[in-house]
Amino acid sequence: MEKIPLEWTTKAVFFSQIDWADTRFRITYGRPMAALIPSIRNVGLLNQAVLQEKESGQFRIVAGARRLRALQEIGQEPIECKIAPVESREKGLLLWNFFENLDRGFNPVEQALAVKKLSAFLEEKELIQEYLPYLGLAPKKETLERFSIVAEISPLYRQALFEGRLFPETIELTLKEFRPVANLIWALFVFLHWGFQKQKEFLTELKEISKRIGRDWVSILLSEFLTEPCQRPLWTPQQKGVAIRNFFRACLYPTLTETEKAFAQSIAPLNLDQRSKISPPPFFEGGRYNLEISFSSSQELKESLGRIVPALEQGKFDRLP
Amino acid sequence: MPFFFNKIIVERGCQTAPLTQKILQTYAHLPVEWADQGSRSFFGESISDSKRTLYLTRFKGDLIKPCPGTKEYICCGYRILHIGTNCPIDCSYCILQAYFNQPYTRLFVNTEDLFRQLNQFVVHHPGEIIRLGTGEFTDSLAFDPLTGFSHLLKEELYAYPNVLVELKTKTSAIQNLLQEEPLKNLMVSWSLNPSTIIRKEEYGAASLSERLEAARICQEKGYRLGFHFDPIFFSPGWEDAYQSTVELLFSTVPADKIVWISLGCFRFIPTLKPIIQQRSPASRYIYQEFIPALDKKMRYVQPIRVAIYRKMLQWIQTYGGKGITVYLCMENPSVWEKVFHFIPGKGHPSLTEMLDQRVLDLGMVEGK
Repeated sequence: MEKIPLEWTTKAVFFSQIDWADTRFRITYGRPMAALIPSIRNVGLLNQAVLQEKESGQFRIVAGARRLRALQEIGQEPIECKIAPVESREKGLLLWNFFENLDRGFNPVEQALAVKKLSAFLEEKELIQEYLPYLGLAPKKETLERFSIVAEISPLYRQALFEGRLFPETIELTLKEFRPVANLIWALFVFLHWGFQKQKEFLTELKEISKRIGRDWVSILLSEFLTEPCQRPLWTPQQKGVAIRNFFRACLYPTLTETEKAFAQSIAPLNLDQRSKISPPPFFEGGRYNLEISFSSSQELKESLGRIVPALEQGKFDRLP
Repeated sequence: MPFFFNKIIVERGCQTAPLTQKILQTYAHLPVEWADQGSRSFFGESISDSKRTLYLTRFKGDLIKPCPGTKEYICCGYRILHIGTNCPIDCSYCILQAYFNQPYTRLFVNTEDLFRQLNQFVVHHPGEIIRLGTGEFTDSLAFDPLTGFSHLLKEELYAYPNVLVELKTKTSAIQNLLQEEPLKNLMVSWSLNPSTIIRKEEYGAASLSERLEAARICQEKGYRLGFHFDPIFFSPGWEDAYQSTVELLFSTVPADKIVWISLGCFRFIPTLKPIIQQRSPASRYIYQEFIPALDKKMRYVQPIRVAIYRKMLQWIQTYGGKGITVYLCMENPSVWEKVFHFIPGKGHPSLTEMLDQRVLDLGMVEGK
């Protein structure tokens, strides 16, 4: 890795001179300032912010946006800052900010922002092998692709990614397969409080159902089977999620669903007690059922068998699917 | 020229084998590369490209092996005579796409080792009925016009009256079989599917009418026949397609010349699905109600399979008569019971015994 050659001067800057909207070097997301303000109040600013002078005469922030915001809140200005000249190389300034933030670790939004911004200046191989590990990511091409895609997520959903309500893998899958309806899908995920596994299953199953029934995803997503549970005012997000997952399951496994119903109907007349349970084989494959009786005395066992044996003799077990 | 190849790779040490010489003469126009044993593995080459390379090698392991069955599903006790791996026919659903980790269409040129092992196997299983097939890891007849293997096999089989060999194919490459008198312990079988499926999913295979015509000619010559509806695909309208295929079969071939018909629904190891999706994006059969079965393969849910087998059996018995021997390939006992009302090996002969008895009854083999 080449050393980053940077020159700077020190200068006192007023907040009005800073172009806050210019975030080209920013890779920080979701870091609270709450602890920073008392720290600066009590011990002062230990590490100066870095700015770059712009041709307009304003300054863009290279590193230290949070520190500057904290100082602004405290009401302290002008601030002594390190100033990189206009002609400084963008790559060097970005890397300066990157390495300055290295020791604190990166959340998923920051990982995506860093990957996107670094990829503009670094060769793919260097980015994968040297920089992904700095970001706490596996040095693989798939990881680079994933986080490059995640960087495209609308700012509206960055908070959900930061909070772990959306996930890099499901964002990637959504953008790769369902880009036109990505925002709708993410809104649904956040609304239903689904974890990673449920999100992934939903995306896989949506694609499968769409292929199988020959309908586009939009019409499936907007069908009453999905919208109706979501609109039920008294249902919890969990209940809504269960209804949607049940609908998907019935689409994917119509025969299995019917078989499950037939099984439930066939064991109902057996009138088993609470201690006895009949379980079908997984997916009804192989036809081997399990009968489980829990008991704590011979009397309990006798009572349970007293219900099972007559049902068996009456042929009620013959109706199992 | 039976199939189109782009090049031939000959493994060092195989160049003097008669089969190598024969193939190199036939494909004299093709570029030839030489390779050290085991030096070639998949490296960024597509399955399609890989199939276009003919790789001539000596197989060092067991050339006779049991069919790779699983304990939860009833196996027919068939043994594999290992003559090569991969196949020039390109069925979209072919398990071999996900099964082998070695590239190319491979032919084993050490036929002398194969027949030596066959001899040893027979010696170690005296009097036992041995059913063998070459159609598990490749098509039995696809290369026959090139290799003349069926002729070599016949010369060996004369000496082994307890051995039955079943050549399973999707081709109509029967010319070598017709040049000589049939052997009672050599039967020919065709894998069948409706024409719509053959056209869409079995690229490079013979059409249904070509297969049935080849079967008809073989039975006229005196060969006994087998048919395998495997894989059977479930999709809207499957009944009409399969019923008319069964009807066509029995209108072309006399039922009394059929040794057996096997049935097996489409099943696949999970790693095959992305290969099918990538190589055959138009194929819809992969989007059906599959469940992970006891052997880790994806299968249609059991009630669907039972319904399919019951209907197939009904059509076979309607058009071919009740005397036809029908069996299920790799199905569980519960399915057998629901379709046939008995379970092989449970108060009834095992499937292996049933099929052995069938070829004994037909006088195709001699056994204890």
